[in-house]
Amino acid sequence: MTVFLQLFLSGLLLGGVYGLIAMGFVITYRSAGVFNIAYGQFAVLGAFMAWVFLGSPTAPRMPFVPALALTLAAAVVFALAIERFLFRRMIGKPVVASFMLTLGLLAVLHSVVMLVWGARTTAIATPLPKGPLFLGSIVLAREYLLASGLALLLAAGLAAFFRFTRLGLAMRAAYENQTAARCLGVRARRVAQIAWVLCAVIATAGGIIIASVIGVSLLLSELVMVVLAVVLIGGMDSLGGCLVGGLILAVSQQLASYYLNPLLPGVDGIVSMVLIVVILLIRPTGLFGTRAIERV
Amino acid sequence: MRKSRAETDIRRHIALVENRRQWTALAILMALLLLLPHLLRWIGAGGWLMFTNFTLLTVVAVLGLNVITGMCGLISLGHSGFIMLGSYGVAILTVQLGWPFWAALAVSTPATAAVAAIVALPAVRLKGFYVAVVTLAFFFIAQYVFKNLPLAGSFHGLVGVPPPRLFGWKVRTETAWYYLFFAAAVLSVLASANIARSRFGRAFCAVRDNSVTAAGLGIHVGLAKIRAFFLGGLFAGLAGGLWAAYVSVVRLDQFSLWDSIWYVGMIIIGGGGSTAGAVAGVVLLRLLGQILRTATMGGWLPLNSNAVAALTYAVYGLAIVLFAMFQPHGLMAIWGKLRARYKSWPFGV
Repeated sequence: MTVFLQLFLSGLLLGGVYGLIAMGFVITYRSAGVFNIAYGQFAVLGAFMAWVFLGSPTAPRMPFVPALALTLAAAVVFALAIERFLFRRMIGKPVVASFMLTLGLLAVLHSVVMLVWGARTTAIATPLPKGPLFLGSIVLAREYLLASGLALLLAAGLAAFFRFTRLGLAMRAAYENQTAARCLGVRARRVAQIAWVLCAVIATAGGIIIASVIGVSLLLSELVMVVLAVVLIGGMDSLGGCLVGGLILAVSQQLASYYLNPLLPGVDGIVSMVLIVVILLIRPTGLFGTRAIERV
Repeated sequence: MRKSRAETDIRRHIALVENRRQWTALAILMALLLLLPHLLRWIGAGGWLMFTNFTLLTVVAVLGLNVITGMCGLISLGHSGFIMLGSYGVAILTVQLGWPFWAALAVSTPATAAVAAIVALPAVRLKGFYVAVVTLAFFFIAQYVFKNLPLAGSFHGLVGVPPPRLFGWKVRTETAWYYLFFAAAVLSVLASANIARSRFGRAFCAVRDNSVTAAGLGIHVGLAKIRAFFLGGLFAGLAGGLWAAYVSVVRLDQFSLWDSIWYVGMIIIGGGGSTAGAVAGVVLLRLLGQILRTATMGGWLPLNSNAVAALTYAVYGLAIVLFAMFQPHGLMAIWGKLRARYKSWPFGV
């Protein structure tokens, strides 16, 4: 029983982190209508930028708060540049073209990281509490505690933003019908800029959190698979669904790694893929996504 | 089927080669291509033959993706996985079970197509990105299966796929491989052009452009999608099987997600939906990659092999980004505009 509880709780924590990271993806999909498959590369880039400013635990560079501020500023600049130079001209073009653009962006960003930093793995010096936390006989990762707390806070904050502020309302309007929203005075450009900035900032934060556990490397781009699974389970346009999807995915991964790994080694790596296939067979719009009605 | 004149006879309308001028152009092209290995050797560029062989295999594979993505509009990021299935199929049958190559190819190719049709099943109800994600999931699951299948040699892969025998001779020299692959490529181009002008091809295009209307016209959208994946899997299985014989070693790390992305990029850059476009996209991207490689190896750009790979990714990615932004209909659209401008000169388009 304790084993199950252990798996469940550690899955819960990890799920919070997954949910947090997936929110960035959902925001670009909801607000800009872009299926950003290059999201993993955003996280890698953000983590490496943070490493540049923070340094590794053996060779720290800057104190945490200014380094984080600089990294987030860099993420904001990056997001604004991407919006201005790449995605602004895609407004009005078919959605498939934006997807192709993100595919190309995936390759370009991957190669940029490879060229600048190489295929290395380094640790990153963050003051996140490290090490295991013991609750009786259950072991939990302390890093993920803070991250999950942050995820819940962020989810609540974003929900409040979208529901109660004028800007949030404007973004929701722009998602539903961009032309009508613009007629009502919503500035589509501002909405797109905010969406991309949020995406980059969340990706960077997520990248730093995961990097504090597994180190900064190109492997972080695998996050996009996790994000895809979470987003599909939860629903592509639901922020709350991200958290639920993250929980489901993480708990499934933990359970699979304990119970199924002895039978099929390494199966917890493809749990996300199997879940994707299952959810697309049963309920393609995800648990909390809105059903699209197709019109001719 | 972009014709310059309206035709009243259906056979002339869908004919692949319209008039005498096109026949002569085709004949000249075929003569050049048949003599290509000797031409290359004559100008001292014999080393390019291996590149040509790999490019021909890529043409076969990407023509398959063209049916799925270009004609039917289903973005498939798992095409590298289908090629992997074809290669492993041939490798397992020849190395582990001792089958002759042609028998193995004859079984492995339809088997790959069947698996592709199964992968299409979840895609039947889905749109755009969801199909891409399903194919992505398929790719990783396939990788996992082959990694843990002892029959597939798990990590070390399978060594020693025998070369095919043609009328008693073993295919061993690059020139011989060229003719074999050229035959396969010609078959694939013919097949692809015929698919495009057939009932199935028109159904694919209808599903791509507007699946709701297609259903209203009586086209069974789900069956069309499954057929598209089946045909794409056929091409991919053929390419994979031939590739296995060519390099004679089949390992897991030879098939990556990046290859799938490049194949989709080749379709976009060439122009979605047309056979000529797919071939153009393949040739362009492969040439770009080869130029980069020779430039860096030849010492013009002092970079190590990691940086070469990264630079190749950057160039490919940049090409995809530029085409997605400025010309999503690819090289064929550019060519079409040039032709239109030429025909209507000195007036505007």
